[in-house]
Amino acid sequence: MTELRVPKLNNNDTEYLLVEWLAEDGAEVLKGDPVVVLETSKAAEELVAEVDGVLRRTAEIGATCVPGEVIAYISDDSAPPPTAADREPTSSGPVITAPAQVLIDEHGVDPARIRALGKKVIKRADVAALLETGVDAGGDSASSSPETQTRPLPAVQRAVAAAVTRSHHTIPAAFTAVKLDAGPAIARARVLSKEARALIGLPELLVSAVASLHEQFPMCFAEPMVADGPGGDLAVRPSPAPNVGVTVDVGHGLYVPVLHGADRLSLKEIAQRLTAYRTKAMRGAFREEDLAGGNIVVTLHTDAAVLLAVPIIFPGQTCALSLCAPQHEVALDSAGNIVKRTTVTLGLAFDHRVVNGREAAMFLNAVRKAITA
Amino acid sequence: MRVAESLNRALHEVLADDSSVRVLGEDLLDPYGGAFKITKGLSSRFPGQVLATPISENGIVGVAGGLALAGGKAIVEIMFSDFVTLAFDQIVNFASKSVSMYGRPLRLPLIVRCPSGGGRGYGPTHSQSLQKHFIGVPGLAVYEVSPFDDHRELFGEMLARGEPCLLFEDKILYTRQIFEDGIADDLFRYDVLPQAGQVTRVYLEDPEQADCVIIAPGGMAHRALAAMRTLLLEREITCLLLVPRRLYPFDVAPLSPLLERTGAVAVAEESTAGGTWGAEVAQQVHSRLWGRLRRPVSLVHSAASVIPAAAHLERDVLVQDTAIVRAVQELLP
Repeated sequence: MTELRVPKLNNNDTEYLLVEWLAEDGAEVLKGDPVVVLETSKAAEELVAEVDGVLRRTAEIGATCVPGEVIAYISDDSAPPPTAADREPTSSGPVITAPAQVLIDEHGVDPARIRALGKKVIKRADVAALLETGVDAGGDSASSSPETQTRPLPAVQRAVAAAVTRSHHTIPAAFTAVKLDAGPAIARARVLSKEARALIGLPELLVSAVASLHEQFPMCFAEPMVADGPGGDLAVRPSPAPNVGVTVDVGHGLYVPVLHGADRLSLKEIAQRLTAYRTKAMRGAFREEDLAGGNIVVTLHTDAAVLLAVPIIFPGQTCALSLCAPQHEVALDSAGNIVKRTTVTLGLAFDHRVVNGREAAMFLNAVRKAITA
Repeated sequence: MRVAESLNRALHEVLADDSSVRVLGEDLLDPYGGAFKITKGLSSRFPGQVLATPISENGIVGVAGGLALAGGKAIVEIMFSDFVTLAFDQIVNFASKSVSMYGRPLRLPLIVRCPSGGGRGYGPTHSQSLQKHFIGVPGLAVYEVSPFDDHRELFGEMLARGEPCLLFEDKILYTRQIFEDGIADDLFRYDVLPQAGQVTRVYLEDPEQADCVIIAPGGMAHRALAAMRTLLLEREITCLLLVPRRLYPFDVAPLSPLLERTGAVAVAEESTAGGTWGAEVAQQVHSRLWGRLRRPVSLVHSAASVIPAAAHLERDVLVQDTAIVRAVQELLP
């Protein structure tokens, strides 16, 4: 049984209109089949089935639906779809104000007595009046004040949590970092930006450099896997092309959109695609295909104070790089004169099961060379 | 029904009921039907009454004003209200004066529709709420769309005035549902006070029992409701929300008993700080109710800033429900 949930389609709207079902209720649908059309304030968007199965609609044409809402189930027919009764909230009790709730919790008032008041809104005075008419026996003055109540994480953060937990459990990671004299690269990026009329900076140079080393360091792009089922020997599946994921976080949560076949992209194209991804991040408009298929990740740490960052390796990948903020420092040149220079820390977290320190260092140095070239 | 659909239906009915009404604006021919689809279907159904124009706000409003003065009725769509400033001269120096400066009253039934407001990341030039610049112009009425209103009736009222009207339509309302049957949500109910110029009154259980009155135009309705919910659930403060249909001229007298009962009044609007509609309302409230107010009327408005495009920066500038919550808490320490 898979839920068909309304995704966040844009940032303009808090709700969408269900304009058309493209598949009949009870119809067999295949993964990828468009099943329903939702209308935002700007566009109509099709949702597709994520699995094969039988479609059970739970929302009608013309319904207003909000992101996260379930509008259908796709089942393999082994389990009956939930009935309306299962989905309804168990009881539509009165609204209880926070001060009233504190009093209820302090005195362990029976919820049935609160409901019995028959009021739409329960205030502290209502509870106090109730208490005067006889305190519940044995009510233990337990816990949950509003300050300590748990709050669920947003969906994006839950996905991040699942990925980093899996990474932490399954990938024995090691980490190496190098310092990069970024002055010449920043100067070069500035010239390239003007030529290409696109915003090229260290992140774009780094993505390009990483992609260019795909053939030279295939293990860094490989997918570690357990051969012959669980308990089998560790194996790797090489990747045919460098698909470089880049972290984007504009305040709505962390996304890692992927630049597919990044070795075939010019710096200008890389810059344009990253810009497009940042726009999509602003609008919450990522498509599944934007986020899928990465085999290495570049994490960007632009906060000016960040010296060093150890990235988490995405499950199914071997390496993750981190690019930290430029730092200004005083150094000695070859003649012993004091000069000012700009450096960044370039880090590489790697799955030590398949990549060793020597190869990691070689990879990092090759990236460094490619950037400063 | 969504507010956009309701406005669209209302325009269809207006054109069907009165063949002397013309609709003018940019890009409003089908199949596009206007940037926000409020004029969708009009050009197909009433080809002779809909005129698509070049980008020339000054010209469009000038033509519409002339048309209205010559015995017709005109409704203009300004694609984004920010550009109504281009027609300021036609509105203030021509249309609004023409009803009275020729020695005898003349009719000039003109509505200038202005999709306004931020919250959609459209940046400094497509997000403003310029109501305040049109407040206090003799012969000019300023209205704002609300999700509580009957929009057919609203257009009828404006055309019947026989003088130019600006209608501000907060863009964030377009995709929201209109409220029906006196129910705003699971907590709040509403009714309309005809004697106060169709002011909508939103209340918890008993409109006579409130700790504070919030006066806010229709675009603020959802933010005001969210603030009222927070205030009730967290602080047990009960608010009465008053949503005027017409922002100017605005007479506070019929509302005085409601305001006097609480002695605590906040005015919320999305216009930027300084010389606002809210200040005009506050001045009227002070003049009538001085001595019966617990504190000076609180003004809630956007920061004195251009409106940034980046969502998180835009949020900081525009009025949020939290600002209304703060203002009410300050009124009722």
